[in-house]
Amino acid sequence: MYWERKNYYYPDLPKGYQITQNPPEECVGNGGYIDVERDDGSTFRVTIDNLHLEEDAAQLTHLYDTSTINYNRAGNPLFELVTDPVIHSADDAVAFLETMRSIYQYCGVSEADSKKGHLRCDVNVSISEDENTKGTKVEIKNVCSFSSVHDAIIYEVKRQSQLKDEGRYDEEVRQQTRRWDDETGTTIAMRDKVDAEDYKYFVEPNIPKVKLTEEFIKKVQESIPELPKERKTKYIEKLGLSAYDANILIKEKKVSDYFEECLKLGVEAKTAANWITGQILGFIYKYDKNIDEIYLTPERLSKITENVKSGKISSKQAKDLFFLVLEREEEPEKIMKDEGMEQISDDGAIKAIIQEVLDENPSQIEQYKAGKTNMFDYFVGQTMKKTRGQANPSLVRDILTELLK
Amino acid sequence: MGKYFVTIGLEMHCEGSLTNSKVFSPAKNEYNKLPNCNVSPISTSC
Repeated sequence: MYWERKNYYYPDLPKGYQITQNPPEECVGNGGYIDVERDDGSTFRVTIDNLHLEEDAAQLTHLYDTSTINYNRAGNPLFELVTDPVIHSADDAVAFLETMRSIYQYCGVSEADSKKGHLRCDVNVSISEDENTKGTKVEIKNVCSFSSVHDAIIYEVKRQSQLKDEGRYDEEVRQQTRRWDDETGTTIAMRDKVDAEDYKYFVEPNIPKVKLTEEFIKKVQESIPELPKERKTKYIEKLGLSAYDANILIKEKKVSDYFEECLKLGVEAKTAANWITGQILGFIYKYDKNIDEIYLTPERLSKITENVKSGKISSKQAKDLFFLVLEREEEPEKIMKDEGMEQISDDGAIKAIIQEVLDENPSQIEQYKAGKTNMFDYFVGQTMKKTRGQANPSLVRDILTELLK
Repeated sequence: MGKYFVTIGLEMHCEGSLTNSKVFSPAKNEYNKLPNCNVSPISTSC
């Protein structure tokens, strides 16, 4: 395996060349495929042209009348994965990217965090009359999020289709490079495509060739940890989760790791899955955070679920506690103490409160006795209201049934 | 996606964010630092 110099001048690379690999010359990988699962459970295969290593360029930010350059990421290691042109919809493109992001994360080679700019895509789009004819390939450069990839494909297909319908396709659609503009939701022409030989590749003289021995490759293969697909199978077959929940949990390694940590702490799989796929992901998406950045660690979540399981707090109180822990960044036990959150599970105390409710609502009792059975829930509701949601709901129902006999 | 046959190829760039240094220089590979503070004079930009 070796590196080459790709010569071009642009402010994001002031030394005038990028150290990269030039497939199909000896690069990290040529060929192979990834099987991708869609949300509906069907699968499709994406064949890989190559995977090569290179150095990243600087980050350019274009403002109204000026541009800034940040060289912090220039020279960072970058993996470029090039697929064959075998994808046929924007949804499939995003499903593929999400799968690859998971693989990178699970293998521990990258956080693959779009928010930190770790992931960028160039998207090649073409349209044709049918699958046997080829259209003109248009490249959309540097698309920075998966949702933008989706939108850029939709826009570009629409643009090219419209030109074809108007008979202007051959004249207007050239092999060119465009860029995606998030603000206007359009692609904008940058330049006509530069052919590969324009970069004047030659072997990088300062970096020796690297021999990847069979033994080394075997070692790397053996070090590959449990991948998302394997975790998904485990979640469904061993833990009894639904495919829907399993898919959500495995998508981001950090989320899956959080779930695994909850299991180690003794939280039941279904309970942990419900909390994560519901409340926790809702919270982190709303506040644009990563799951490992929130105060509610798996340990703290396990404290909440333990208290629900032991009957100390109700499910409703657990939800309140969840938000209070995140808001105040205090231990669940402290908040329970400060807020007097412990569930009332004392038969005598609950009976007295229910009796109060019944004494205050004689006409409703008459209605109940006359056959209006939904008044039962009314009494439960009134009792819960009086106890500020602290009464054990199943005890309330049992005692109420007794008292209304 | 409409009446035409759509063909898409992807080039996915993923930054190796978990190395301590950049790939060919000792400058640090860190996120969220002040602009232009992780630049190695050895190789100008990387």
